[in-house]
Amino acid sequence: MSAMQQPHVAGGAPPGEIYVIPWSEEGAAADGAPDTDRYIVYAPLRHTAFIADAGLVNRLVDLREGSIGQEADREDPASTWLRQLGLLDDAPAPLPPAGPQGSPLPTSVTLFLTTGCSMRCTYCYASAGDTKLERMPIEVAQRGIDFVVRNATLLGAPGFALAFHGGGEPTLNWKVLTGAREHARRRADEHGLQLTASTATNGVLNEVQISWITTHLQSASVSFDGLPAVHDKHRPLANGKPSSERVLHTLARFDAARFRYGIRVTATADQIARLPESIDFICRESAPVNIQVEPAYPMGRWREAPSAQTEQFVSAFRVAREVARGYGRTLSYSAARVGLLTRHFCGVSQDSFSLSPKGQVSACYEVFSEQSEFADRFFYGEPTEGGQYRFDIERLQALRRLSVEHQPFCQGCFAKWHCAGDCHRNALSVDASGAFQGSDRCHITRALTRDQVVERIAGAGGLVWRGDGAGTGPGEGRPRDVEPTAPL
Amino acid sequence: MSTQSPPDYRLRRVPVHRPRSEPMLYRLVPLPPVGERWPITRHDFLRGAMLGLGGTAGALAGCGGGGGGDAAGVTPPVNICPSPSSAALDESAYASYAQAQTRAHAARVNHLAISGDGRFLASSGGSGGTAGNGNRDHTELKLWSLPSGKLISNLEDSLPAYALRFSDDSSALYAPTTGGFHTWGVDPARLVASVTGPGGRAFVVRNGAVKAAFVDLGTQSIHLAAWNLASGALIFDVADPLPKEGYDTAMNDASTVMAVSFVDGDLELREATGSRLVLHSLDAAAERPVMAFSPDGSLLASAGGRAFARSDVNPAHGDTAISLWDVATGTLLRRLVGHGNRVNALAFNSDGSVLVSGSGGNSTSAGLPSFVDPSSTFLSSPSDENSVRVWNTATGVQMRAFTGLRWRVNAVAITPDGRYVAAGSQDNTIRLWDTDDGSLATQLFDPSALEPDRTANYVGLVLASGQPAQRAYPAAAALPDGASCTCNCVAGSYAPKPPADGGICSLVCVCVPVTFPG
Repeated sequence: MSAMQQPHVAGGAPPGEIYVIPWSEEGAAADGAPDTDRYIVYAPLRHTAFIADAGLVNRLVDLREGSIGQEADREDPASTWLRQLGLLDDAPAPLPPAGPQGSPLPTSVTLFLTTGCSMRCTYCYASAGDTKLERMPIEVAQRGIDFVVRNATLLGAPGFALAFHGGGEPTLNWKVLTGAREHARRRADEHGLQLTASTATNGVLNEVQISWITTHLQSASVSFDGLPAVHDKHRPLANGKPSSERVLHTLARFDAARFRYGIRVTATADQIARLPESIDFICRESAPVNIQVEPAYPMGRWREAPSAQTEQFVSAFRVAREVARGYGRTLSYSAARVGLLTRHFCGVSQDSFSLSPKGQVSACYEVFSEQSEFADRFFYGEPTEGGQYRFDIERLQALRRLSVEHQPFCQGCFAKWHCAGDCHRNALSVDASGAFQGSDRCHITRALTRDQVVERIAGAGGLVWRGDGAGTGPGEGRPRDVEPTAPL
Repeated sequence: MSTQSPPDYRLRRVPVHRPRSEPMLYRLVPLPPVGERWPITRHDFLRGAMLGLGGTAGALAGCGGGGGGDAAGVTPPVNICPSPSSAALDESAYASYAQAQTRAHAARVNHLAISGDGRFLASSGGSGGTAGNGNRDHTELKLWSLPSGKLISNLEDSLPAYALRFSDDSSALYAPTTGGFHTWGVDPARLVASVTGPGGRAFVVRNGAVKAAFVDLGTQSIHLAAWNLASGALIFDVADPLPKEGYDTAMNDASTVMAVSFVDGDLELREATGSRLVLHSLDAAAERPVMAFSPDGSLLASAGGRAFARSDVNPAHGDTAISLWDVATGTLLRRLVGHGNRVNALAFNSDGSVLVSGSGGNSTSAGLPSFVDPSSTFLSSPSDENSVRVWNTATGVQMRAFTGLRWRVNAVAITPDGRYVAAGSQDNTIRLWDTDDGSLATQLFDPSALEPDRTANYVGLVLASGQPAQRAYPAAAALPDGASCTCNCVAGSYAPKPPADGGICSLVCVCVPVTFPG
């Protein structure tokens, strides 16, 4: 971009929550043609988006700067239309809710039951199976459950949540898993609370475990990479044998029981090209409620592997997304979520209450042990006498400050209220100081977020999307009646 | 890992590339869904199938269940199921799984031809090292019975074909290949002649000789050559330099006019005689055009487009429209607008009144809608559009559109009467649609084309329209009512009959080669 073309930010100071996204991000179409002179104008907090040429973008800038006279303004159909959209002189749109304050009172507990695993996934972020084996005793689980039950009662919450996750395969500590759930059930009944219980699993389960899960948990997240050849290459059993057949059996049993589960697909660089096929395979072989696809994180055993956080991933994801749509399914990527306005990517900045096998409190699912890298950033509490927990408030405040409004790097990004800074643990792989400088996932997030915005415009009739707020899924923003004055 | 500059998308003044008097708002208009459906999940399918089966569900529960069988068959194991009835079947029970698995080839389908008597369809496929979706790296040439949809023969040709064409009397199939010009007998299906010589897609066989036109990419010249089919002797081979990079050729049935297309979208009509005089230079407005002459030679259709669908081109003004030319005058008769992606194949019916076209791209980057001006009502593609469209050449009206295909269409063919159109796709399938009612008439199936680790029930059934059809169903799935199981054994092999043991599937269908005592 030449000096003559250097963008001039309207109004000097940040002009509010309006973003201008070039239709062709790199300034040229895929075939090398010149810039198409088209822009997506996106106001996330107003749930508004449309596609304009440079003339309309600049007219919006002029109007916001007040550089058009009042008379011309009144006669200008563009200004009338933009004013109808609330983009000129409406009051600022409210920001997403702020995070928690004070001492944590979580009503959800996540238990890292073990670091052991029945598999040896090549890309395991936890290097599960290679690290020292730790197993949570039942007392640790019960203490955590009792704590969130007490909080739920204190807050008048309708219920509490129990989840099993991370660092290994939770079902390998089966006795504690089932015991924790039974304990939670008893506590819920005692206090008249609803219990929501779920687990993450690698899907290598025996018949007893499958039956128990489908009858005692509300949902599960199963790691499965699709085509057997792809899955088995990167997700072998601990004895080196393929695991896909067993996982497929689990999925079939889940389907037969109408059990709610999601599938988490990890795409490594060498398998990105087969992602659409893998999604096709998943869609025809199973009936998950959600399919989440993420490029392999460069951590754990995959630290030195070729990055999958590439343009190829974006391209493959787009094709895979269409494949999934053909089956009536939605493909998700964790950081692209236009249906959600938030300051928080995950629970890390919201006092997530996760217990290591030793009972220490971590905010991050991927920092599951006191021995984990960056444990000093994410562990923020420990048990005390009397079933309570002592929290390191200073560290907790540092975690809370990871919410997106505190990330200077993100302030000019149109995706910030959706991705909210993305995975904080992953960001530390870029800059261990914790000063977020963007990651290789940022371009994926922006590309897929932009797709969702465009889909909403198309879904709202093609001219302007005026959704009715956050919390809707992709493509669900309901258009309002806006009479465009076209051509403006 | 690399650190980045902070992104800045805040509202800002942007450079103006195209001066305009007024600001412009753009409209996105997605193509409405037309044609076949893909939304049925395995879950839905199983549920639907079970509902349809009603009281017979229990009896069929044991049907399927996968492979096995170690007989020295010529096809992989396919389960045989009992035949509950021949009642009409609700097409909606046909699962997406089944559509994906009903493969005609083990690799992408590249070329199709339908015989003049409407009895045969020939197809060739090959992976070429680039096809996805489980393709295997080899070439295939197959002959099918069009009325029954059954595979007649896998023709043993190891060389990829450039084109396929039946003789005028439908007794022979011609296939120019990378290694020579092959002539196959149809009944019986066998190779009857092979001569070293003409490759390329444009050829006419007449009086025992083949006359071919082809672009030599090495020398950038257009060749017109002829060989004696019986002896293989070269009759003539003349070459003329091309003014720019050539792309494709076509020749009329009388072999008097050839067309050559250029990468940039231009066309030339030349005499296909000793003079090779350039009759007309045409602008097809489409990159890398493919072409087809109408059988009487009066019309030339051309179409192309970028290999990657553009998200910013209005098809009304863009490059995926089909141009219909008057060959005698070189004038553009009309443009047929509808495809949202590159057109890869064209074919006329026997009297030139109907044209069928197939489109699709390789794009993995074109996932976004196109633009149209607000005043336009033209439709644009929401994604990488793969479709088959049927046109009335006299009026330019689009008669049918079969959209929603999951992979690009590489080849199309049409029966002489124009009623059925066939499409060969990158996903190894060949589908036939009935242009009368727009229904999917059948999908050709060769069990040997199943994915290596997969078994399926191969099912003969009757559609609600009364049309017989064949489908592959998941091995573990119960069959819909109205289905009867068959084995699609090629000529020269047979399958043992299923047992009449009360509807329990207990036999794996293996096509066994027929042998005769010496």
